[in-house]
Amino acid sequence: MNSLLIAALLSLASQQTSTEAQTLLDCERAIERGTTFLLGSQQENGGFSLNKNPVIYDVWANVETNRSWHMATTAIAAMALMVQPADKIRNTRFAHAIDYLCKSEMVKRPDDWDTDNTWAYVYSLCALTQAARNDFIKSSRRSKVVESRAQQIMNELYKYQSPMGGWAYYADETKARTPNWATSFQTAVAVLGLLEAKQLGWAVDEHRLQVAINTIIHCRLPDGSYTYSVDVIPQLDAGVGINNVKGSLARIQSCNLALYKAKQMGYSTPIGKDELVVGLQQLFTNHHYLDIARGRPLPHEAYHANSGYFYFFGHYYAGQILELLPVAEAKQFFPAYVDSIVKTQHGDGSMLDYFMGATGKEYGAAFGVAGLVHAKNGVTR
Amino acid sequence: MLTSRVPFFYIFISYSNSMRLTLTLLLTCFGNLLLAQEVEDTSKELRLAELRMTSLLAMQDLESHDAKDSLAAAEYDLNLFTSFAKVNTEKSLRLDLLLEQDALSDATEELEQLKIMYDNNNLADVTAQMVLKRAERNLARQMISVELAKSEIDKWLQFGQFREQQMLNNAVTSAKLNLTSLQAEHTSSRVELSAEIDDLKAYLAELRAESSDE
Repeated sequence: MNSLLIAALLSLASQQTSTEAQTLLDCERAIERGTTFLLGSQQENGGFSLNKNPVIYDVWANVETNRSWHMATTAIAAMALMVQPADKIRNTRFAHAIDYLCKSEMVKRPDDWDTDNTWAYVYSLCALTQAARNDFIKSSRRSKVVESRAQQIMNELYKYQSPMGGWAYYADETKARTPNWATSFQTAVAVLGLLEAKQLGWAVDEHRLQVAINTIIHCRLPDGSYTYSVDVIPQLDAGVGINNVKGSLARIQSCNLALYKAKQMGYSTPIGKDELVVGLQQLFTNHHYLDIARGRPLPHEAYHANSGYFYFFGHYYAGQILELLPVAEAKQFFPAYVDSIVKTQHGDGSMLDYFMGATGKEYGAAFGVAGLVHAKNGVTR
Repeated sequence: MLTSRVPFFYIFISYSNSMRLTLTLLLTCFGNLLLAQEVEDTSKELRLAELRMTSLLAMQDLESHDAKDSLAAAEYDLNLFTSFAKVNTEKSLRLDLLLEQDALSDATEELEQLKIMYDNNNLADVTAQMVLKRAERNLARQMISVELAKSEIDKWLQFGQFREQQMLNNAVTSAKLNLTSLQAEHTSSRVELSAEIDDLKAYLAELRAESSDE
């Protein structure tokens, strides 16, 4: 009887191990295929996905808007390559991308109402801070250029920090030199970049960083979600509004991560490990809301005003959170996480959550690959 | 001479009697024909008059129904007003005032919070001043909205409700008068047409009697 029980347990354990191995294999294959796609789409100048015919494909985005997305996508793609283990081809390629980010003319504000240039700034800053830690970048004597460019970008970024405390990508509320509108999630991306810069010992405007952290905290609602905009008086949305967990699945991950990292660096924030786990539980319990939104052509057209482009953004930060959790806890979410990315991958290795001219497939694959690598690190330490 | 005149005289007399008979017969036939035609024409006229009476009665029923319905509707509106609308309109206007006062409180609180937020953030910028001025202007507009909502209540209590009551009373009175007038008019029309029918019937009876005599 005892031997039968042991045999059954062993069989169960072996089955579980085999499922885990399969998940890991799926994850690695998706990373490889996504990386192949990214390498294939990199342009000669080192950038990714510049829309060469913006007027044909876009109804409102002007040339500089497209360049903003192009620089942001290049930064995310560079991060997706840098986060992977050192490899001669990948090193050359991301170094080329980092050079492009450092040497290109600074992206300007596209329009009086359009401040999409902030996307280029926040993701360039994140990529440059990651590059500053990269051994290949350091060994190839790029560190000074990287820091200098990051400093320039931070100075530009400060100009767009709203008096509300954060950042956003439109200024139609006032059309003033400094926008008033700010969002929780872009502020979170900026804070992540600024925290990394501070850790590197670069000159960071401490007051602005502290205000930005406070702003994200201000957006946090009692159910653990974050308001979309930085509102004077934040309120939980009843019904199918965006300001609750179901409309905030992607924002929860980016904002939680920013506040968690801030806390690790000594700032007072309400986000510890337990809150990260709750955020992930909220993501996977309500994941169908993002599934429904993915691929829809109109912004905010799905339930709880979810947009297609929330998908990979949220998963990228969820992947980073998995990397921070203890292995046993990360493993609970890993299969669902891998499935949520792998199922989106196209035959050519790309991933798409929203048709966005030339940038959709590239930023999708870059976020997807980077997220998978972080998540995999979380379970294979 | 005399002898020669006699046959002619007899012939003449004989001829003359025959003519008279013929004429009399002809006149009798013609008279009968005319009488028959007159009976037929009068009968038709009578049928037509009776049909007109049927139509008149149906139309009068419809008009009476409409007039009674108008009266019922006017009385319903009046009852509704005195039982509910008079009070509810005042309540609704007081609710409008509350909503405007709430909006004023919200705008005041938002302005206060905005100032606190801007002060705490201390990211001095003209945008902050711009937004604060807008919020102050919004507050000023909201104060006017509150005043307007208050004046709507006064307007209703002092004038509106009395005017409304008067209009509804008038509507009931008009509907009643209209019904009375209609009923009188209907009676008159019916009597007039009935008399016409009676005349025709009497005439027709006369004609038929004459016809049977002959």
